[in-house]
Amino acid sequence: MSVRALHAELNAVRALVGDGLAEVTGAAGDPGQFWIRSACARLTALDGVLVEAAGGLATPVIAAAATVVSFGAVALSAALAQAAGLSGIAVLVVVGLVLVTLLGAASRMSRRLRVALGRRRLDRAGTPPLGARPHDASAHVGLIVVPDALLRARVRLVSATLRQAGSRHWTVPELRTAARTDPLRRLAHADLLLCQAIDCLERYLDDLAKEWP
Amino acid sequence: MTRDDPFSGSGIARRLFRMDRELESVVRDAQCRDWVADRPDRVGFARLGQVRHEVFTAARRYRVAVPRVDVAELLLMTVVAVAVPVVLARWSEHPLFLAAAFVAGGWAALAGRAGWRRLRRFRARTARVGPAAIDDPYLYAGLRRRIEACAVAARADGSHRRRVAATDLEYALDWLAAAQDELPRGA
Repeated sequence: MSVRALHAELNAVRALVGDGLAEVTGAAGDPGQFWIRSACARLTALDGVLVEAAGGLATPVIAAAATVVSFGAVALSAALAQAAGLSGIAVLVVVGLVLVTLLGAASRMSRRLRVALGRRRLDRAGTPPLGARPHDASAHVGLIVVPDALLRARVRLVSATLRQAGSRHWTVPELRTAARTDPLRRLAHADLLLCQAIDCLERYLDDLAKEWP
Repeated sequence: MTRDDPFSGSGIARRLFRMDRELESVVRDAQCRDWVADRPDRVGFARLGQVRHEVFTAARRYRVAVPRVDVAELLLMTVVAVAVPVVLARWSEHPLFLAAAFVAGGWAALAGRAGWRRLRRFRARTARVGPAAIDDPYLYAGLRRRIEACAVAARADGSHRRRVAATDLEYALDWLAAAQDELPRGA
């Protein structure tokens, strides 16, 4: 699956989840109810996870940047340490400390970079046609079913994940291995959050059916 | 079984950490089985994911930095990235040579990671598909016993920050019971 197509699919999922969230907050009689609040929290977090999933940098880019930065930093700090009269192991220790500091700074900045990059890429990729807007069953009578938009969002998200994994790797052990690394790891997390939100709504509707206070 | 002694009060964080790792692998397995419709059930793994979230929150109250990365992979990369420049630095002390040595260490670490992942993928390609771990009733029994033990220890803790972890673990027990309700009975 091409990168551009994945971003367009993620945009579609985000749009559907936004629709579902609007429907839940608009139609629920009691927005402060525990299950409704949990579902809304998960759907909100899901959007951030999808943005992060789109913002990954390719390994060659990371490797090139790390090469340039660490070459400069090591050469500079080693020259300075030798000018200060250190030698042997002491130079290596100084260089190692400098590199560890740089690594810490990079890992602290990486999340922010990932979010910014993901947002920019998703903005640039268009949204594919979503199909007909589903009939809004619960506009006036309150929340009576799980919004159709959420179920369709799950279908799209899972199909995008599977296409990203590649159709030759659709066995359970291979998917399990692939889901340990990005971007499939983040897509799996997004899918988990979506399933939890749907489950929360189902439990809410279950309680309503039992006329639980 | 001294390490699971509920009244020792020490090592709770380590036990929570271990449970988090186990739950992660079970949830991932069930999720992949749902994706390929080997065991279609979107509710069970979502609830086990909630258990994992609560256990993780409790572990964080003990100020444990639970790493979300693959520990073996990170260890391999660190060892390679440290060993290569230390070995190479015997030849020369020129700053440019040292810089090249460190860069070579970084590239060797990346190559090691790529090889490690390739090995894992190869082993996954030849692996057999066993029964789903989420269907194992002993998993739930064992997890409940261990979470209860951790909650008992957390409730008896001196610091109020850690006593709050007992509440998280109660939520985890609720979600665990809810996940067990989803198991197909009999069949």
